Amino acid sequence: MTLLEVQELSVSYRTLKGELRAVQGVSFELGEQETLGIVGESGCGKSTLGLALLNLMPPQGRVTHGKIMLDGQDVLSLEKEELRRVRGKMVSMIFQDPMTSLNPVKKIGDHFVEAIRAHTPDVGRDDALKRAAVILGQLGMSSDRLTDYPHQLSGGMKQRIMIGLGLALDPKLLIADEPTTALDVVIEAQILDLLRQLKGSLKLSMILITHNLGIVAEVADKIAIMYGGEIFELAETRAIFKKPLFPYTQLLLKLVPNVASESTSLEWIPGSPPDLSTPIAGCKFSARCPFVFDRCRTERPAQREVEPGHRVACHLYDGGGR
Amino acid sequence: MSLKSYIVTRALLTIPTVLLLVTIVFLIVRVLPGDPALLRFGKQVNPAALAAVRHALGLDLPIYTQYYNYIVGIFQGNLGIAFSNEQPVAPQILSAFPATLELTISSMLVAVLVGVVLGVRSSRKYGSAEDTVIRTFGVVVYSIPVFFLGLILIAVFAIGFHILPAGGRISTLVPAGGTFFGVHLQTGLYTIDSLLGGNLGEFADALRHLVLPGTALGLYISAVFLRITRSNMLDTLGQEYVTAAKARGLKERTVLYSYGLRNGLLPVLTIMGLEFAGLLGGAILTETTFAWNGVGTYIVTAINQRDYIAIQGAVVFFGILVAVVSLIVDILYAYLDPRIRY
Repeated sequence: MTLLEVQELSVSYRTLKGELRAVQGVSFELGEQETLGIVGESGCGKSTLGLALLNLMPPQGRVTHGKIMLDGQDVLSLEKEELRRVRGKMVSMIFQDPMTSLNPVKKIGDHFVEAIRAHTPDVGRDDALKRAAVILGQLGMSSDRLTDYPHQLSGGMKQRIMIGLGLALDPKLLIADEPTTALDVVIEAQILDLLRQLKGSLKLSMILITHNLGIVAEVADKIAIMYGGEIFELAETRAIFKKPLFPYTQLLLKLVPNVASESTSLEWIPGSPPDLSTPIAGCKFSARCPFVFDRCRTERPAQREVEPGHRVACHLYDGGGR
Repeated sequence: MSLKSYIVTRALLTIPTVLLLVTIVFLIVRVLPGDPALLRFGKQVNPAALAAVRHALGLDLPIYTQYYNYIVGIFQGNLGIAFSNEQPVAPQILSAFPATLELTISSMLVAVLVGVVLGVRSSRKYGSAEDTVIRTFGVVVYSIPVFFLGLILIAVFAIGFHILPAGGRISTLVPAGGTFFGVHLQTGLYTIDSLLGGNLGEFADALRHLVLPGTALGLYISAVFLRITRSNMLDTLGQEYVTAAKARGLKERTVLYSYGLRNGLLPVLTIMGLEFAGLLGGAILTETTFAWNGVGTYIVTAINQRDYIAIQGAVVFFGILVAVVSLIVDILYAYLDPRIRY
C-alpha cells in the first residue's frame, strides 16, 4: 500500500537575490512500513523537502508546484485545523539538533502532555503522563526524566525524547531530518538502532534525511540521491550500493571513508553545489561531472526507469548516446 | 540548586550591593567641595556658631565614625536631618513616595502594554509596512524628551480639548482611605485610597490625573520594550523548538503563547527591572512638568536648596529601591526560566 505519494513537488524561497528554487520537480512514493533514505550534501534541498511534506516551510518559503498525497489526503490543500491533525498524529518529525528542539522552559512531561492532549483532548493530564512513562520505558529511559527540564538531559537523551514525542500518537510516518548529525558516534549508533527497532515494532514508515550514505545503508529500504533540489537517482538500497548509475552517486560512494584502504587523504568532489537562485540550463551536476558531454550542458535530463525500481536522470542512460 | 536556595543566595547578594551603593553615596557627598555647615551661614561666619553647627551635624567627628553612624542610621531607617527645614529626611521621602510609585506603576503599565503588544504585532508582521510603521513609532517616542512630550500632551489634551487635567494628583481633598478587612488603610496611592473609601468619583478623578503623566513617561519607556519584544519574538519564533512544536500538531495558540511569548518575553522581564530605575529618573522630569508632588519633586527642591543630606537620603532611597526591584525580577526570572537556577 502506498502511504505517501509526492508528485512533481517544487518549493521556492523568496530571498534578496530573487527566487531560490530549493526543491524542483521531486517525485517519489513511499509504501507502508517502508523506509526511504534521502541523501545529499548541505543545501541540496533535502531538509526543505522534509518540511514541505508537513507544509511547514518558514514564512519565506512556498510550494510552487506539485502535489503531496498522504494516505489519500492532499496535504497542500488541507485547512489549518486539518493540517494540524495530520501533523503529529499522522506524521511526526524529528530534527537535526536535539539541543534546540525542546522548549527550554517546559518539563519533559509537559511536552508529552501537550502533544497528547493536542490530538486527544479527552485524555487527562495524569493519563497522558502515564503514557509518557511507558514510552520513556520503551526508549530505555527512566520515567523520572519526565520531571526534568530539557537542559538537564544530554544530547542523546534529548533526541530519544524527540523520538518519543514523535511516537506518542502512533503516527504512520516518521520523518527524521539528520537525526544523528549533532550527536557523537556512539550515541549515533544507539539512536539508529532505536529507530530500526521502532520501525519494526511499530510498523512505521520512515523518511530518513541525511548526508551520510553509511547511515541510510543500515536503515533504509530505498535511497533517493538529491542534488541541487532534484532527485537524480532513486533505487533500492542494495542497487544503489551495488550498481550506482548517476555519476554523483558513484562519487559519493567513493567518499565513504574506508579504514582498510592505504590512502590517508580524504576524497572529495571538485567544484561546489550549484547556485539555486539562478536558473541552470542542462543537467545541474554537469559542472562537476567527470563524464560530462555537450548535451549535458544544454538539455535537462529526464527521469528514466533504467531497471525496474531503479530510476535515474542522466544523459548517459537515456539511449541517445553522445 | 532549588528555587528556594537560589532565592536565599540572591537575596544575600543584595546586601553587599546595597552596602557598596550607600558607601559610594557617602563618599561622593564627602568629597564634594564646600562644607555643608557653611551653607547655614551668610557671608559673615561666626567661628563659634560654625563649630556648634558642625558638632550638631556630627561633622566634627572622624570620618570613620561618621561613616559608622551613617550606616547604622540607614539600617534604622534614619537618613539624617534635612538642612532646609530641619526635619528628618526619611519620613519626608516616605510621604512623597506613594505619588512617585503611583506614577511609576501607571507608566510601567502603559510602557509594557504598548511595547509588548506592538512588539509582538511587529514581529508577526515582520518586514511588512505595519512593521515599519511600528518601528518608526518606537524611534520617535524614544527620541522626544519626556518633558517635551509631557508639554505637548498638556497643550493638546488639557489646554486644547479641556478633557484632562494639566497637573496635580487630584482635584478634591486627599482621599482618606478606608477599612480593608477591618484595618484602616491609607496607602497614599490616591487611586487605591479612593477605592478603599468607596468613592468612585474620586477614583475617576485620580485616574484622570494619572493619564497624561503616565502616558508621557510610559510612551518614552515603551520604545525599549517594543524593540526588545520584537527582536526576541523574531528570534524565538525562528527557533527549532517552535518548528518542532508545529510539527507535533500543537494548536497555533499554544505555539504562540507557551513557546513564543513564554520564551520571547523572558528578556523583557530583565528590561522591566532596569527600566524601573529609568522610570524613577524620568519621574524627576515628569513630576516637575505635571506638578506632581513625589520624590522627584523632593529631589529637585533639595538640589535647589543645596540640601546635601536630603539629596543623599533620596539617592540612597532610590538605590535601595532599585536593588530590591532587581532582586524581585531575578527571582521571577528564576521561577520562569528553569535554566537560571543551575
